[in-house]
Amino acid sequence: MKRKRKQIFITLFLLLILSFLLFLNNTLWHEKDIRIYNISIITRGRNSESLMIMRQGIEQAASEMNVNVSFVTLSEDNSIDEQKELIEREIKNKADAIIISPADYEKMAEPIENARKKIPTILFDSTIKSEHAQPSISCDNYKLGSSLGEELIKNGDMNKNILIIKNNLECSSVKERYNGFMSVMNRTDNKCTFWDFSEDKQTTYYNQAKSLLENNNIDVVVTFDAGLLENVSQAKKDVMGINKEKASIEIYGTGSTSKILSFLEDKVISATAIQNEFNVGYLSIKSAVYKINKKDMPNNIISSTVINTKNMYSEENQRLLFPFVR
Amino acid sequence: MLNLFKRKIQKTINYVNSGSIQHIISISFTVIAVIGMVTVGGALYFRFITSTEEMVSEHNKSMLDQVNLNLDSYLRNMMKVSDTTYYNVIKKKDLATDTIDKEMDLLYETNKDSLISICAFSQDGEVIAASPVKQLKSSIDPRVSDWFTKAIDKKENLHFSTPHVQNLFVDPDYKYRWVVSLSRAIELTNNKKTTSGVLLVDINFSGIEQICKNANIGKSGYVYLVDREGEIIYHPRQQLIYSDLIDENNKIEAAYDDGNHIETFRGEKRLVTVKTVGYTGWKIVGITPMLDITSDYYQMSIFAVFIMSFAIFILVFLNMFVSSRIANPIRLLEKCVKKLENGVKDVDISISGSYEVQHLGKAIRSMVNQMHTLMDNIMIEQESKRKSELNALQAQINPHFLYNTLDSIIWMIENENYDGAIIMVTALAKLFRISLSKGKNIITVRDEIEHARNYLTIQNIRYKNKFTYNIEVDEKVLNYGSIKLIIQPLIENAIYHGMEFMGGDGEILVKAYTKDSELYIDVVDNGLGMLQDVADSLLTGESKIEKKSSGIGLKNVNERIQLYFGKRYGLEIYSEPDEGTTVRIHMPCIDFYEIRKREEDK
Repeated sequence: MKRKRKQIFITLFLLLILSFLLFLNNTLWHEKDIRIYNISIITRGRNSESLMIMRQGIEQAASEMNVNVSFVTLSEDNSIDEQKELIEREIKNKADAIIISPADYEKMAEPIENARKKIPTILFDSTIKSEHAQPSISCDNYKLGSSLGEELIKNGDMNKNILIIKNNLECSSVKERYNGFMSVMNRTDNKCTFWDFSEDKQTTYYNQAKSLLENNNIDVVVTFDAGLLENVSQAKKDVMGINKEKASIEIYGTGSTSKILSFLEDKVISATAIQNEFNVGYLSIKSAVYKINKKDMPNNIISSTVINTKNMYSEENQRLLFPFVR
Repeated sequence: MLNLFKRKIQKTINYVNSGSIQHIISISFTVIAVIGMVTVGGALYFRFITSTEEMVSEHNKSMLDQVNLNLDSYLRNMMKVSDTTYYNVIKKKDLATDTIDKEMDLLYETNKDSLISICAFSQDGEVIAASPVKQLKSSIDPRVSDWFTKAIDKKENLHFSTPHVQNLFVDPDYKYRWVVSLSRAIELTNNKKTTSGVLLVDINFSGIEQICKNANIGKSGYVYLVDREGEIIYHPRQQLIYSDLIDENNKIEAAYDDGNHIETFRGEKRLVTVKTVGYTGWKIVGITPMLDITSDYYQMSIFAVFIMSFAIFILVFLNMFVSSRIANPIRLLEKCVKKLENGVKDVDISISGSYEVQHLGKAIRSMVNQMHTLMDNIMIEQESKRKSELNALQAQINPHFLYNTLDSIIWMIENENYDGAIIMVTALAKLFRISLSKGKNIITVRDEIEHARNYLTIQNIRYKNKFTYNIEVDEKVLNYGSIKLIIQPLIENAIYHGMEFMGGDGEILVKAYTKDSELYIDVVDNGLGMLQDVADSLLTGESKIEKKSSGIGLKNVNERIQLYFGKRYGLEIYSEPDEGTTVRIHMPCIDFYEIRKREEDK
């Protein structure tokens, strides 16, 4: 009896000590239990200013959610091969998730599907051709395109010669914007002609744009790419100096680099349609983290706006266009 | 359920109350210890909570004061720039003749880190002077700007705007800077005519941001800045708020008074500390989520529970140990006593434990020993009493005496001495009647004397008047109680030892009297006598003299008296050789009827 009681006593004591140690361990461990995620972001272009705002969003999210971001840009715009390679490399580098903007709607489908089987993959801006619903962080590109078209109409362009530069249509975001834009144009009497810049080298874009503007009788130029917009605008500005008539050419596009904004301010560009890039960056990281933790991401809609010279300094648009430099 | 619980409690109480000392001590001590521990622990815990909350509040307050101080000095500095530019530069110069660019450049250069530009506008919105010198954007009309209209509307004040992108000058680098505009109405002197204008100092927003960013209030706490209307000026997650990804309770918090408030926002309880900045009417708002504070509580409470359970555990252990140390010796003693109760002899009573218990053990041991000796004594006494009574019974019918007496009677009858025979037979009959006395042990002195008289009568006849006898009895003593057959053996001794070898003239005196309220019966003879030493040894039984008597010796008589009345009573023998012997019976004076009554009561 006495011995049994002693045994019970000792067991209880040991249990108490054990649980105490466990508790201590747990609290100490808990403090260290802040997981750091390694997330890779692969763009579909070279490092350009248009990525800056998005990057700020990424960094904000990264600092909030303990993410180590490796931001990978291509050496050449929309290089499918390079993207494929980078996906492989980042998976090999033990990234916890990949955030990618596919360069091609069809051709990138397979490599991304493959990657998705290994690690969580988030798409931004564009999507890929796939049977599965692909999570993609992007605004409604179709709507963005159509609102750009509406802006054209608002400016009275109902019966004009419109030149649409159709580069990068293999990219779903550009394609959708194009579709949205065309849906509006089809309601008007505008004459649309299409153009494709040859060679995927930006250095030649400027010269191509210049000759395009000089040699054609066009009233409106539309692009769906920030880089192209910059080049075309620069060309127009330079051409304007020589030939004042060309000042009447209206330029519409998408994207918001500071250069574009200054062109917008100088009325070289009539309007640009932008999406909330900061949110794209922020939400990409957020969804990646959610996906790593196998949680469902609440649906966030990214807004898009058309910016023109008049409204660019409005309170809301200021915030959208000029993020705080941190 | 409740009933069951109640019954359980009652059961426990009963168990505790009826339990052993060890149980009572250990359980009650443990209960007290547990209650004490829990009370103290709980009190400390709550004290900790309140003090932590206070500390956090205080810390937030002082942190915000610090931020306020920094911001204040920063803004004051900017106002000083504005003041200096106005009072020391613009007011002193006539713009028609002097330029103010140089002075403004100087002021700009000294405050370059916190300023973006200093600029004076005429009331038509033209740039009078600007530093750094830049070209005004063609599309811009300053007069529609918020800062311009405010300055014109309220001329006497300095106006701080909310942060906005500076949109005034052509910048070849396409840089857009966030600024806070400090504007005021000024008077410009131009050709001795005064016109009004606006002085604009654009403060670099990042300066304000730095001040607020470095404020550290708790793990996930933060500080933000709102203006009078609740518009956010600075927020660590400003861009997210602008993008509608998160929201802040700024409109409501801007209305709070300075100090600490607790609010629930989006289901999260948080501590809000508000501080108003001078001049501007801005408010610094510090937010600390309650979870930051309470997460510590949880750990603390678990820690406290552990410490308490440890302490309780150790206390329980100690209690059990101490109580067993106290109770074990008592329990051992109790066991021994129980054995004694059950009549086990030769119990070794344990002596251990504390001083008191040892003392108890010793006392019980000595008591038991005493009891044992007493019981032995009683047994010995009983034994001897029984023996002496048997002896007395034998004395009642001494066959030898009977035979001799009857022989004498026969002899008398044969000699036709009928009178003598009658006397003898009568005396014998009386003798036996008294000596039987219905088996009683105590008879009256009267009967005892009568018995002695009869005996003397018979013996006197048998010894043919070899001696004379005399009986002197005090009337008072007759009704006192006496032990049966005590005088007769003494007379027998006196006759055999005192008279037999004498030639004649033997005298025996039997004398009963009281002295000092005690009863004495003396049997005096004038026989051979003996040495006093021999006489003394007769009573102790060390006598070597072979008794010739019927076997009922002096010793027996003495013992019987002492057994009945106590040690202080008994026989005393005084003797001198050739002089005679006196044997004195000493008994208490007790009325015979009283004795009888007492015996009946028993």
